[in-house]
Amino acid sequence: MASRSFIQALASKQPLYRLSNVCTRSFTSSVVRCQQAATEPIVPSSPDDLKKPIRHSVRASEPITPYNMTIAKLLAAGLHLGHSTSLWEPSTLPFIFGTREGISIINLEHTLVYLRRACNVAREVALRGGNILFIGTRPGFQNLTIDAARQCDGYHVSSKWIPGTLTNAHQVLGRHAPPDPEDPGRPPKTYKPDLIVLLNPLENPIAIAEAQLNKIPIIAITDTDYDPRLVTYPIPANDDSIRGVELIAKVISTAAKDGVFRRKQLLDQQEKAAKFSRQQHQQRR
Amino acid sequence: MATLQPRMAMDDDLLIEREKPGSLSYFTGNFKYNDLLIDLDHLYKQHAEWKPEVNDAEQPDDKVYAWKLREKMSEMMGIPLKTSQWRKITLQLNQLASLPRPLPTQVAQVLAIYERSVEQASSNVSVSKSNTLDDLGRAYGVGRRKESSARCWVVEGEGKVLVNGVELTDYFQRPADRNKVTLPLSVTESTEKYNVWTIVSGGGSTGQAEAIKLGIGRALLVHDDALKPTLRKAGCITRDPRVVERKKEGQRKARAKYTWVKR
Repeated sequence: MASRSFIQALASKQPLYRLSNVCTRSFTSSVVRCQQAATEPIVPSSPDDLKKPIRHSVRASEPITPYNMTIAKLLAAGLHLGHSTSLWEPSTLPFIFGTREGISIINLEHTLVYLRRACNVAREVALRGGNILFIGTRPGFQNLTIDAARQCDGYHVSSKWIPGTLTNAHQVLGRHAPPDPEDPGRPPKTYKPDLIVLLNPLENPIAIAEAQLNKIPIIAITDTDYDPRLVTYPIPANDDSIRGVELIAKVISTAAKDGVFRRKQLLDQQEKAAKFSRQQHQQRR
Repeated sequence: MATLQPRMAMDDDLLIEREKPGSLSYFTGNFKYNDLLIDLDHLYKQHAEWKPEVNDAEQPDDKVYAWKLREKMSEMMGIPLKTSQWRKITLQLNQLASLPRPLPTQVAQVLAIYERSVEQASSNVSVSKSNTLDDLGRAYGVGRRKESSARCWVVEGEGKVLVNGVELTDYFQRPADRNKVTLPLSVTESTEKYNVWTIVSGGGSTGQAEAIKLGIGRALLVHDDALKPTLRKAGCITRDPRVVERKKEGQRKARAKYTWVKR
């Protein structure tokens, strides 16, 4: 069930970009927030701020984490805007809130739930020391994919997914790998990812097929023109807006980073416990 | 003292040490190249707002960077580089070099690795007979046309032309061929200034004549480089690439086909 304020916002025919002011639990408090927003200047006063290049499309005043994710943030990033109704995939019906001006609107409550689930998966995989691979092959996604991968000690594919990376790893990945120092004749060891985060599944059917053959789970951003049953953990959201995709990639990457951190903590604990027990053993002797 | 927390069955393999690939771009298939692009991009973003202190005492640094060529760069990196890949790398390097001078030390260090070394440039210049007159004042030029090949020596003199030891008028019967041979000299108005000794072989009369024409043109350039535009307009510099086209199977000749039969 969608929240009442969300329905009211859409029904009131306000321009969609301003809904972030309106979308709250109770309708009355939003009026106060509107007034507060009006007092802050929209155009920065000093000219230096205008001249600075906009490096990050999502300027977060507070850090974006899976724990403080709200529907308001998803709405601000434009993740609810689906594709044209004539291009829709009927199997996405459960995730569609309705249609407006010829496009399908995605129900962000489902998006939030599925996003949280994807974050949990990423965190647990990272906790167990798994390799997380971020794939974003659209030209606008290159930088955000690389940043997301770097943040959580994962891997990225941001230009082209070479067919055969998983099924023909010996040739594709082994080609540039350094030979074994002990045994130069043996083909070098190749690695496989344990989780794939795919930011544009529509353009990468080969990557999905290879992952399925190798039993690797996929988290993917599925828009209203893509069947969500083709991937393991779909996130029904808009795959066109760079701000939106950056938000999702950052959130999943943050969750994975938490997992990596937790793993380090557990390893340290284990080491300390082992040291302690060794000391005890020596003392007893 | 044993640990107080109860251990779950799956905790045992939770913390197993797993071998992981070293590079961020491992799954791109070409990790060294991709890592390099990412590092250069990251370096540029780090120093994007570099404002050097303007020091009037130091002279402005107008160094133009020449980057290593594709083969040298791929040798240095240890992976084969395609031209498009090399171009992308040099694009990033140019972007770094376009920062306000003097460059930050980190950037300068990185750029120095990919700079073309001077020895590479100098080795291309070859000192050979073709650039200078020899000790007897002779300029040497080679001309080729259509299976004929001519070696020409041009030296200061009265205007004699000898082809294979024979006078020009005796060797070439057709006046057209004779005119072709003397064209470079007549166009530069140096018919009475130079003597020409030529050895020509291969091909037929016209081919040999045009080969000599090219050879004399090249030898004249050694004497005087300023004649180049005049000779080029007259058509004495370009080696005519036209050769006899091969015959193809299923056709009578190179282009002529057998009569088309409906049935």
